Amino acid sequence: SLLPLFFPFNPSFHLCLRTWAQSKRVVEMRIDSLDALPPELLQSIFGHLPAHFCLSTVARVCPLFYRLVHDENWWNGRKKAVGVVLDEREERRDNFSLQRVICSGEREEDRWRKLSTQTMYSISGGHYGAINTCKLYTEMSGGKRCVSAGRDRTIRLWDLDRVVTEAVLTEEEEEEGETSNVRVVSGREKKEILHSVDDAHGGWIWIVTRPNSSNVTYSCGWDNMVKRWQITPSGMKESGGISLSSAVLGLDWIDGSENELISTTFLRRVSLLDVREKMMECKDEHSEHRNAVIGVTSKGKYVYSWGEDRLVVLSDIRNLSSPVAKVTIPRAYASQLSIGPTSVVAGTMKGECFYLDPINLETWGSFDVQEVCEGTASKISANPLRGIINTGHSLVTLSKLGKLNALSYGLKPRSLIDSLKLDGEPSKVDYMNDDVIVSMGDGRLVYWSKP
Amino acid sequence: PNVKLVTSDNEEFVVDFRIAKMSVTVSRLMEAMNMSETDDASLLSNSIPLPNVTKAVMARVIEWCEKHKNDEPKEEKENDKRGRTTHVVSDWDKEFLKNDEFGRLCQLMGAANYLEIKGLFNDISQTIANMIHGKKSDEIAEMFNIHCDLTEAEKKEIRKKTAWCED
Repeated sequence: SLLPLFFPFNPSFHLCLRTWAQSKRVVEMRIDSLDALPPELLQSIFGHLPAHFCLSTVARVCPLFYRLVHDENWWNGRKKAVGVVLDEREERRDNFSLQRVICSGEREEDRWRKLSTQTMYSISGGHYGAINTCKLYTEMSGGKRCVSAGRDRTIRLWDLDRVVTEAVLTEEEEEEGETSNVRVVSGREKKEILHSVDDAHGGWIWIVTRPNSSNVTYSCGWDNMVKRWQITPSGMKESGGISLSSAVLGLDWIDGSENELISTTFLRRVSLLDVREKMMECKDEHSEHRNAVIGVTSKGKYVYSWGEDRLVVLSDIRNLSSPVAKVTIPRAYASQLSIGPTSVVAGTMKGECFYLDPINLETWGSFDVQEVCEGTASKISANPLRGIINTGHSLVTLSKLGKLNALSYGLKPRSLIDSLKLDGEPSKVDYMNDDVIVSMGDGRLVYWSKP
Repeated sequence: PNVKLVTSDNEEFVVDFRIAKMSVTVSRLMEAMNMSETDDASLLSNSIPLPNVTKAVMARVIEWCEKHKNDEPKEEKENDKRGRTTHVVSDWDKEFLKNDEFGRLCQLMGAANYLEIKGLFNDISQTIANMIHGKKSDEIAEMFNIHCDLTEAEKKEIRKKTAWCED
């Protein structure tokens, strides 16, 4: 491979560059732009360009440009210019890439800036009463879907592509001829609902989730049950389940394993479930938490659970009964937690976010979401977090008072949008491939598609 | 009071002291040569050599400085949580730089850098960036007068390495 020639620390690279530059001077007798512009000036020009454009296009112009665009110092300069502050330990991780954080962060900023001008789809009629949970997914065919569930014990699978085409103006707007960004979709005619199960559980459903490009949906609820749902030609059918000792509050599937689920309960348990058979089995569990375990998420072999006892516990599915690490979150318990490529972010009932080391749960830093977004300290009127999505280059947050926010990545974030006030109390947010969905306490789903 | 500047091709420019001061480099040289605004003799008996700037480029630099001599010193916003900022090129500056062909623009940028005239430097680098933005890599190579001697295989290798940032 000839690629090693381009690495800056390879001596042959410099040689190649020199001969290349010399040959240029011989050929080019007229004004040579490159002679007028030494490398540092080229880099300051590139500094005015989006990082993505630099990597995808400028770096491909010639070996010199490639080297300049891949210069570590130049990236550190960009990082400083946009004000990204990270813990050194995170930056040292093998899978950390400053280029990716900055590049994807800039694109993220574009996405959120567009949100306020975008059509907001307000989808009602699917549920009676509060929706507790919603999850975006895509079908093999690329179709955009969402699954939702709530207090009315029903599960709905939505066709979001259909939502976009069926949306209409509200009646008032039609009368007044107003132009608004809001389009109302009524799910009552069920055109947008692909599948639905009434009485899916014998109590409130807390979590409904499903792996992408899979045919199964998992749910859990107040009736102590974890259930699996399979889509068949005749509709969505229950295809397995297990009754745990108390209400099931948290549920996630294990990356790369179709056979396992992780769940948490009101009575302190974190359990690994074998879901191969119709009768699911509990393979292993721990009761490290001293109180209700509110949620759980997994990444690879690692499982992160968080509870009312303010603990976040890290365990390994290969030996779940002996947790690896734990940390007590100061001031209030974590109501939300999201794992990104190189960090864990926990959001609390007091509206604070904590960046944690995914390997040992050491705290890297924290900030108050309301303070970041509105410049006001919210220590008094705590605004509990209802949703956090850690993309690894941005943070999406949702607070109880209906504020949807997107923040830049890192320990000193800034708001990427003017926080968007939703009408009512939201319960959950999901964000995938630039699609945003929020479930609401009044039974609505609010959706923005990829711009 | 006036200051004499001498370019690489031995052309003498006589400019207002205030204009000369807009260049951090000239400013430092004047200090080093004990030239001051109140000391006419010091200004008359000395000239500032600028071996890195040609007559044609100097004329353009001075034209820009004349226009901007009364500008309020722009306070660089200290990362006021804005993220990546784009330098806004004023209409006059756009017009000013509009007719420069690419090569001359690069020379002008080199001069602004050498003379340390920040406003002009930012104007030009942003202008060049705007010219590049949205172009394909071979079009950029053409602008910079670069003959890309990478083989298709090498190009493919680079593309593979930067695949994650593809759309």
